[in-house]
Amino acid sequence: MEIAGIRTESFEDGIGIRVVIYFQGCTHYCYNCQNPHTWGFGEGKEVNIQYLLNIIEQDELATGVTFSGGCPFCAKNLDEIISLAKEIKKRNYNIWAYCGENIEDLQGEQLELLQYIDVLIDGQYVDELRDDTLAFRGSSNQRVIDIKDYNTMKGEAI
Amino acid sequence: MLVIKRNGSKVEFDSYKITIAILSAFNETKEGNHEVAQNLTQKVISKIEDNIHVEKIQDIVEETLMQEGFLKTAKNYILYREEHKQQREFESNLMKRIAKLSKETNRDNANINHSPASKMYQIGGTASKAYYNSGLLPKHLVKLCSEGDIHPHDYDYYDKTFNCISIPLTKMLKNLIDYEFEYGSVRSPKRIESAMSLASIILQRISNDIFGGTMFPNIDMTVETLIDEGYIEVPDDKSIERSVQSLLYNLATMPTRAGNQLPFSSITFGLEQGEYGRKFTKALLTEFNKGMGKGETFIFPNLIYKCLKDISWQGSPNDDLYDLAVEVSCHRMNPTFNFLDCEYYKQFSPKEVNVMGCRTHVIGNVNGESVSEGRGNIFPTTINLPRIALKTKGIIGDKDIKDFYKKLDKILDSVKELSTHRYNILANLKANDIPFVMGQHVYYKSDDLKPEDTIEEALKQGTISIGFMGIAETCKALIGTHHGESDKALQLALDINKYIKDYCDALTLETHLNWTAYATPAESTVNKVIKDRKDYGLIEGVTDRDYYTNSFHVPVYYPISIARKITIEGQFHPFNNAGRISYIELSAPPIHNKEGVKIVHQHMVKSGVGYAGINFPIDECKSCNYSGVIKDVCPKCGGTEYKKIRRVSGYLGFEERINESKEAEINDRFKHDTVN
Repeated sequence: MEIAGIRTESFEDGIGIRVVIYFQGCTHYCYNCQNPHTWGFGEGKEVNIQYLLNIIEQDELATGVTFSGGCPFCAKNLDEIISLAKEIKKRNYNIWAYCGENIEDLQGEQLELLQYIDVLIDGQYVDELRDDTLAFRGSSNQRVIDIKDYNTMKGEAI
Repeated sequence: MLVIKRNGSKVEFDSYKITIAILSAFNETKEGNHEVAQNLTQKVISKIEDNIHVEKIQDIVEETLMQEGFLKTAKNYILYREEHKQQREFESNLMKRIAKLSKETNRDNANINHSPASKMYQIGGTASKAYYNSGLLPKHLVKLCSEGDIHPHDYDYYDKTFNCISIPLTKMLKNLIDYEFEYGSVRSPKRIESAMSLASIILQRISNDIFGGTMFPNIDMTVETLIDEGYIEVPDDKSIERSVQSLLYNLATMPTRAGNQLPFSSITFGLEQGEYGRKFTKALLTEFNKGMGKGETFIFPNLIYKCLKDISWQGSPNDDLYDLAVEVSCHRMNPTFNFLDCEYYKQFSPKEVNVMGCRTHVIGNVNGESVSEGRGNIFPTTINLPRIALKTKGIIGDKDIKDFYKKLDKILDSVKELSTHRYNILANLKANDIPFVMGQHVYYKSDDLKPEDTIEEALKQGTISIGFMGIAETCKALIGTHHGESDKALQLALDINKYIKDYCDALTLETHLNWTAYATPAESTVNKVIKDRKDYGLIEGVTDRDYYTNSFHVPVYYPISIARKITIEGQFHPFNNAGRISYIELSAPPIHNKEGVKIVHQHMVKSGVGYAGINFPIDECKSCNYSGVIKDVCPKCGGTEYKKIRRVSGYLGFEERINESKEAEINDRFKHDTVN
């Protein structure tokens, strides 16, 4: 799979200390995006699952992994990211993920990936709604969704 | 006939001055009398012309004395000229420095402002230093200090007073009537509000007697004790809140030392489990978090939260307070955290382990109980380790380690000599010279001192410290890598630190004084680096930056993970019983992530880091008081005027008031959480 970069010991991309994987490629093109260099597919670095697992396990303090980007849910080979997520969960890390779409609009393989995510930050970045005081997100339309709670709520709604 | 003076002005020639000068030299050598001196003067006069320079006359006097066979006298006269020349240069330099200070004061410390009193204060300090250099200290020690091999801290106070003291607040508030203030006494407080107002006044009064910091140890225990024992009335929550506000506001605004400086105040707390102590802790943290009038971050007091597994960690009685302390530290950078579960603390009662100021510990005592209250550090002297490494035989990166230790031994002996000299002067001060702290028996074991008694019996309860800086640059010069880069360097760095600690321990046995090893913050040592660069050249990793690395820290510019930095630095903590701190650097306040900070804390305890702070930038908008990271424009109101608050040398301060050396250090700091 293709990544734009990795950040270890992050305090800003979710609760706890986290390894952040910035996947390369995004189709949302949000105005004033923080990471426009992560938009283009094929412009990142090709890595395999083991490479990423090694980096995660080397971060002595990390309690979780965050999928960021780009947009992990836009990736070309989503199945690879799903396999990665499975491996990460096996190692008892929690996973947060950023997603340019709203959770309600996810479909197919995206929903399969969602199964391994503990917390999802959804929605596009909207520059007019930018608020730097928010926790873990850029604009106020974005939501920090605890997937466990979301599934319970969805269950109740049905 | 006219003579040209040194300042260029002309005066009428006076032959008697020459006779007097020759006579003074004869006085020492016994080579001649008044008559001989007069004859010699005539010989000198015959050789001088109109409009001659005074120095030229002196040259002729020298010549004449030699020609006439008064060799000893000639030598004596030359010496006399040289001494006077030095004296003139000394006075002229002193005047130059005073002129400079009158325009702009130094920016050495976080708590000094640019007031008229501040100028007066610094000019006084400059004159004091000049006085010590010109006669009070043995010449070879003055040379070591001016060359930059060693640094006596707060040198301007050399013969005046000592460094810091932990305030016996509980005892003082209980018996306040027994303490004479300038014009009378004060009754003990009956309510918590007045107790905390008086606490500030006590701290202010004590600060005026010393040159360093003051601390309220275990303030939560003080509150609990005073209420439990009925000294102060049981307060309601509102009263506790008001008392905390008064304490914080006073310590944040109340200048001491001739009106120019906020006291270096510290408060330790966190262990009290009683109802009122806990309420006080909660209020202290809550009010500190709210900030000052407009929400500004408190620069002072320095808060130090004491953690003990069975009291503070998850599932223990004060876990809620620890949680709150972490939350506040994520916003305000303070409190810092003192982890009492570290192995080397186990020999002491947790109550008696406290951090004063930016890192100082006063624990262990060969002259009495190892209590915290009423004791302090007397003074530290810091060794410029990189300079020793640069002087060591061999080429950079491959030096003779044996020779290094030989040289370190010599320097340690000099520090011992200097410290003993300084201690003896201080120990011989009278209780009257330190009128409140000694005269009013605040210091531990000062109870029996009469005004004219020397303070030795009390002072020897304190600690004398030997500090060091730049272990990283030292390793780099000796073996080519620093202790972040190689295990070999780590072992060398640990050996050097242990060597200094062992030297202190041996001195303690030998002298029956409390010698302790101190991990010196070195962010303001630009002069030392520039001097060493001049003497030994620009050397990569050693003299190529405008600061030396803080004590045993891994260099701030070196990319390293939090985990690794803590693991490395934790190994040095046990060796520095006079105090040390480790830092990690984040790129933004971890305001939404106290869980992350707690993980770091756990790793610190595991690694033996006894005292630590987490650093990050705090920017405060001057228009809307937004606090966070501001990049040119305030994200909340668009304002462009803001204060930058950073932690340097252990204290918070405004970047605009920080000196160049510290600024260079801040700008170099590697943030562990960056993208790579």
